[in-house]
Amino acid sequence: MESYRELMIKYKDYAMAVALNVLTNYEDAQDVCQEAFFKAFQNLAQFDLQKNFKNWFYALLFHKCLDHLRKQKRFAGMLGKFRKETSIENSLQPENEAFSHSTELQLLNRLNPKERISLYLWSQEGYSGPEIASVLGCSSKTAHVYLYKARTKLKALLREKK
Amino acid sequence: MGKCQRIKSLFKLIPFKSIQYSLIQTHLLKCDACLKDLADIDEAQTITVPKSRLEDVKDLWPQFLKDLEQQRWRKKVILRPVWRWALGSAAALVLTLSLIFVLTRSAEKRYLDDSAVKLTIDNINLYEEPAQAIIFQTQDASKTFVWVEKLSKGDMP
Repeated sequence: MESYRELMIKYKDYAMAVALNVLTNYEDAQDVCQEAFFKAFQNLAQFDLQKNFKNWFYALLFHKCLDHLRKQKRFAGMLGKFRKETSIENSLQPENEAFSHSTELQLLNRLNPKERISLYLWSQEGYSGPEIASVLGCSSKTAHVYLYKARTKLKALLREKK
Repeated sequence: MGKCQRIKSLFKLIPFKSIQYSLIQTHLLKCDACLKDLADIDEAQTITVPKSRLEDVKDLWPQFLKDLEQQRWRKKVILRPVWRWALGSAAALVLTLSLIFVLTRSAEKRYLDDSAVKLTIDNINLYEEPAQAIIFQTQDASKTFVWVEKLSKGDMP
């Protein structure tokens, strides 16, 4: 148990950064991280010790993020268009006062989740195509396509912003 | 880009890091593709949120312990095989009994409806005088009695 606690302390910042870049909402990212750590603990037996824990955990976390976005979409659909618009607007407002990256998150929000995580892993963590592929659970070529699309969209967004 | 990847892989074969770095630096100064990649990384870093910019990420351990405790309780009570079997059997029993009850009730009702004598008396005379008739039926609907009596004074025919 203690060793898992150490693992959580070591990876919580990494996990938060990934979840925040995918979900673009601080509170949601915190909830999803919590769920992902719990799920990882339950599935520790399935983890192959030969592999990288961080990549395995990132894959699990990313799937949790996707589940969360799906639920959010379904919920927003149920509440109707008006509520959906307001929820998206609200999700762009940083709930945490100390956390003020709203401009970045607004831009990031215009990419799809797979493009967001590819861009984050590539630019912030120096991941290569095959490493991104292992997190996304796709082929290396597909990961390159996501990254390429993200980079192209990013350029267009930055041009638009200027 | 592919060519650059190959060069980077070859650089990795060189045992000394300092030599690796200087070779990479020289390569970067000459290679437009790699410089473009670096510029792209810089751009991407401006819109993604790095780990270092997150301040005081909440300790997830207390909530984790709570979740674990809840999970254990759930496993203990609901997911234990004996309980699962007991709950399943009880539910099946209740379902079967209610089904039997509903079916027998509807069969009984149908039998009564079918066997009931449809008897109506519009007009009856007793010794050339109007009389009143009362129809009785036994509970199992197997016998029907018609009671006819003379109207007493004041009774309407």
